[in-house]
Amino acid sequence: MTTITYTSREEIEVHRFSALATIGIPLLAIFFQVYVSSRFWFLRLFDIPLIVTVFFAVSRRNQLAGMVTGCSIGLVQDALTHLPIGIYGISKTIAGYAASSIGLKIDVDNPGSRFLMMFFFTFLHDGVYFIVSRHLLGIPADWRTLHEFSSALANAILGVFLFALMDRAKQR
Amino acid sequence: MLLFLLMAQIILLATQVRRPDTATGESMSLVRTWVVQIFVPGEKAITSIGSGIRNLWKNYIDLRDVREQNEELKAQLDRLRLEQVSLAEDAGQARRLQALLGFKQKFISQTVAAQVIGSSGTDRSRAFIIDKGSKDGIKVDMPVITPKGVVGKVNKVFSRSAQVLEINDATSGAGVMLGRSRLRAVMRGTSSGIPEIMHIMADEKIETGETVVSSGGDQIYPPGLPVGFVQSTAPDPEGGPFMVVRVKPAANLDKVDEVLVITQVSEKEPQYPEGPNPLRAADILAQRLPTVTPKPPSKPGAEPPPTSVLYATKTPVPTTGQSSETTVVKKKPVESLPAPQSAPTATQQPAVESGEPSVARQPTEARQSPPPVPTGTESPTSEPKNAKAPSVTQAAPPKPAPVENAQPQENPR
Repeated sequence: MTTITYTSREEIEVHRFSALATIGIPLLAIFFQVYVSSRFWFLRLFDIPLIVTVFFAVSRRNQLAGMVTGCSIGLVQDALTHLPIGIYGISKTIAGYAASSIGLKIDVDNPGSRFLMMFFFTFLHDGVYFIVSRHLLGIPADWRTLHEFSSALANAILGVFLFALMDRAKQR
Repeated sequence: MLLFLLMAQIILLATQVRRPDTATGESMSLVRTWVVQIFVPGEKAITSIGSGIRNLWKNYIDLRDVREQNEELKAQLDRLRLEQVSLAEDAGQARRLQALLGFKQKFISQTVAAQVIGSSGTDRSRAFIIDKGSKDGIKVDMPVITPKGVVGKVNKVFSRSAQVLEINDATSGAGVMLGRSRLRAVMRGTSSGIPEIMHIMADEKIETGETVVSSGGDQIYPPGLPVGFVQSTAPDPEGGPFMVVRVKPAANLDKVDEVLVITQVSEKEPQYPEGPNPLRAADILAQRLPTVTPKPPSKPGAEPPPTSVLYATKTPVPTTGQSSETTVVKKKPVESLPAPQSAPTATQQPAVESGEPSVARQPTEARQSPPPVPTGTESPTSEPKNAKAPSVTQAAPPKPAPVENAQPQENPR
C-alpha cells in the first residue's frame, strides 16, 4: 500500500505554461514596470518582475526552471538600467532558485503563504542586490531598512493579487 | 538542458560582445542594445497614443476655462509690463558692466526637445529613456534640462533613443555653486534620491531655501542653470569638519515628461549695440569725482589765481638728463572757491584720483591749445595711449618726480 505524505511527489501539483505565457507574462511585467513607473514614481516601490519570477518558480517546482526564469528576467531588467548587467540577474536567479526549492515543500496556493513568501523573497532579492552592487562592484548604495520593508510589504500585497491573476495561465 | 546551455552561452556571448556605436564612438553591450530595441517601439507607440488622448481631453478642458484665464492673463501682463520696465534698466546696466569687464558667456545655442518614454523601473537606477537618439544628434554626456532646472545627463545613446541619468542618482554628480554665498562645491546623488553637496565646511553660513546653480566646473552642465534649493543642512554624521547640505532638485525628477537636451553650447563675449553717445565707465566715474576747475594764468609768466586748485607750471630741473623741464604742482592759499563746473575734463580726473604724471599736463596743454571739450571720452584706461602723445609728461623724466609733486603737502614752495 502506498502511503501519500505531504512531501511525496504525487501530492505536489506541477504546473506548466504555454509558450505565450512563458514569454509574454515576464515581458509584460517588465514593460509595465519600466513604462508605468516613469509616470507614477511610487510604483518603483514594486518589483513586478520579481513577483513573476517567484510565481513561475513555485508553480513549476523545478529549480533549474526557476533559475533560468530568474536569470532571464533579471538580465533584461539589468539592460534597462545604467548599472552593469548582471546585478538583477544574480539576485533573481537566487530568488528563483529559492522559490522553486520552497515550492517543493510548502503549499504555495494559499494566499497567506504567498504573502509571506513574497515578503521574504523581496528581502532576499534586495539583500543579494545590495551585497553584489555595494561589496562586489563598489557601487555607492545604502541599505535603507524602512524602504526595503515598505517594498517587501508592497510586493507581498500585490503578489497575492497577481498570483491569483496569473493562476489562470496555468496548465496541468 | 540543451536549451539552457545554449541560452547560457548566448547570454554569455552577448554580454561580452560589445558593438561599437558609430555615433558616439563608444561600445555598447549587445544585450543592452537588444533589450532597448525590443522595448522602445512599444513604449513609443503607447506614449504617442496616450499623449493623443491626453491632448484631446486637455483641449476640451482648456476651452471651458479660457475666458477666465484670458482675464487673469491680461492682469498678469499689466503687472509684468511694470516689472519689465524696472528690470530692463537693471539688465541694461548689467550688460554694460559685463561688456566692460569682457565677460565671456556660455550660451545654450541649440537644444533638442525629447519625450520620456520609459524608465529603468527601479529607484536603484534613477535613469529614464527618451525618444531621441544618435540620429537626432544626441551624444553621451550632453546635459538634459527642463524649464525648471537641470535633470541630468545623457548616459547611453542608441540610434533612436537615449538613456538619461538623473542628477539624484547615487552614481551621479555635478559641479554646483550656491546662489547667495557663491560657494562652489560638488553635488552628488544618493540612494534616497536627495542629492547632497559635499565638502562644505561646517562654519559656512548656508540658509535653507538658498538656490543652487550649476557652476560649469564639471564641463557638462553650462554655468548658471538652476539645479535646486537647499533643503536642509546637518553636521557631518561621521564627525568630520564638513556639513551635509541636502538639495531639493528644482526640476520634478519623479515626474519628467518632456526634456530639452542641450546639444550645443557656444562661448562668446557679449556684444551690445551702443547708441550714438554711449555712456562709458569713465563718464560715470568722472561724474562721481569732485570737480576741478582749470584756471590757467592769463599770461605765460603771470601768477596763477588764488585758488586751491592744483595746477602746474614749467620749472627747469637741472638734474633730469632727458628733458630740461618738468612740471611742478603749486598750491595757493584758498581765498574763494570757484563755482564747480558741470562736468570735469578727462585730463583733470586722474589728477584727483591717482596723481599720475598726466595730472600736471593739463595747465600746460591749456596754454598750448584751447581747453579740451569735456566730452568725457578719455578714461583712466586710456592713459598709456595718451602718454605716448607729445605732452609735458612724456618729456618729463621717467622718475616719478611729477607724482611726488602731485602731493601738494609734500611739495611746499
